[in-house]
Amino acid sequence: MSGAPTLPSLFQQRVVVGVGDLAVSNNANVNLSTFALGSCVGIIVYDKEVKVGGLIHIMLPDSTLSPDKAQKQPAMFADTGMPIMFRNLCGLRAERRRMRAFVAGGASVISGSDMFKIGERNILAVKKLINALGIQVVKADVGGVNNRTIHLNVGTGEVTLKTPIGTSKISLA
Amino acid sequence: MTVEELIQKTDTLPPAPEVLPKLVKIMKDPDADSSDIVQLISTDAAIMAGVLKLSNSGAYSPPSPVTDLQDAVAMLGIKEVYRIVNLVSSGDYLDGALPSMDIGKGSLWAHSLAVALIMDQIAKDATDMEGLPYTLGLLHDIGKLGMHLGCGEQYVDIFKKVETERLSLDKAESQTLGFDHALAGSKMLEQWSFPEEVYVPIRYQYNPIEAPEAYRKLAGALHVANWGAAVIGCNDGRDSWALDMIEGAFEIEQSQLELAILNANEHLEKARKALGVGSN
Repeated sequence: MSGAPTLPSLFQQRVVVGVGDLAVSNNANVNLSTFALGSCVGIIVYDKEVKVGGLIHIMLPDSTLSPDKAQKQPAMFADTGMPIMFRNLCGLRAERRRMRAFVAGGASVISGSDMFKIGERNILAVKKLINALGIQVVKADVGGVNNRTIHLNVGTGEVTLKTPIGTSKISLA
Repeated sequence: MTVEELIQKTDTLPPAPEVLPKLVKIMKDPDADSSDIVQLISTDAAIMAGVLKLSNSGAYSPPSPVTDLQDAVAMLGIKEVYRIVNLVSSGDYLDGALPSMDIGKGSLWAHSLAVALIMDQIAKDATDMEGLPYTLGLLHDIGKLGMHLGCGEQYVDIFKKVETERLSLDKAESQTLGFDHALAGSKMLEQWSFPEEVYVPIRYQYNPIEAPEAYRKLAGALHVANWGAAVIGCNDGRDSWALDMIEGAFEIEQSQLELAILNANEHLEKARKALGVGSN
């Protein structure tokens, strides 16, 4: 029957990750998604060996701005959220040496002082942390003036990136 | 088409709000009291219902149910009731989708509320008119509605300009049409009988340095708060980061601004749940 859903797609579940939030999964039927990354940065990490993936949506680079808020919502900040995501991934038997990452977001204004280039500051903070952990970044789609939406299919390691210009696919498997 | 022709297109633009311009004027009047506000709100059943719904929601968690407007004023205070009326009234205008700009249903309302919440924190010293920063935040993008309804077909060319010439949206609008959505919104608000405290800062939100001195701080705060809402992720639409941020437009410490953004994000979540703001 034309247009009928395939059997596997009937079991697919979407987990939406909001601003300042993260999720990890080893369920092959799960899609992790985050919408409208502007200056925020979304990081997807995947270990194809154990089919484990994670997604975090950070808003700000540095938790020293508000330790109280970082305690309540650590994924709001790059420096407090990312270590938690990697810990949670390892808790599902992912290993750092096998992890591959995709980074998106970090839009910035066309012109203005560094204060307003928060996207660039977010990208720098994320890159520093990823490099320190020795994670391989397969692709980074960052900067510019567009919002981005990203999805990870935990079963296949396929990442979908949507912008107003179009849609592209990247494999982390 | 001129901006005057755009706002004269009464067959395409929505009718003027009844309550909100009068409410802003009441807040301007030092002799006005809460009974004036209750009397005014009582004339609009939909706004009254919205006020009661929000007053009883998790956003306020009143110790006992709020059953009428007097209750709401007594429990929440006049300033908070003023904010609620602003929010409920603006929803009628800002909740729809604007496909010409790739803005989904509810997104403009959520963005406007985020700007209002940031303005509330950073522009307290810019005016002695209670509630004005919040109102400015909620209404600052009303011109986008007018542009979408009156000349939405022009946005294909406007976005082309943004993308090929790296222009901010307001500059691309001005080069294509001769005016931007800030001017269109300002003219709409003037026509709708809002006082100049509302429509002048909105007119200058993208070039606050050029605003009349009395409104320069408010226009500068709007300039910065608009960017702050984008940081929260409340800036749906195509090329939503196509902004020129003018250095020195508004004096504020980076950490103070970022804290205001974090606080606004928390309040916004409560409003989303209570009113369905920005749920698409």
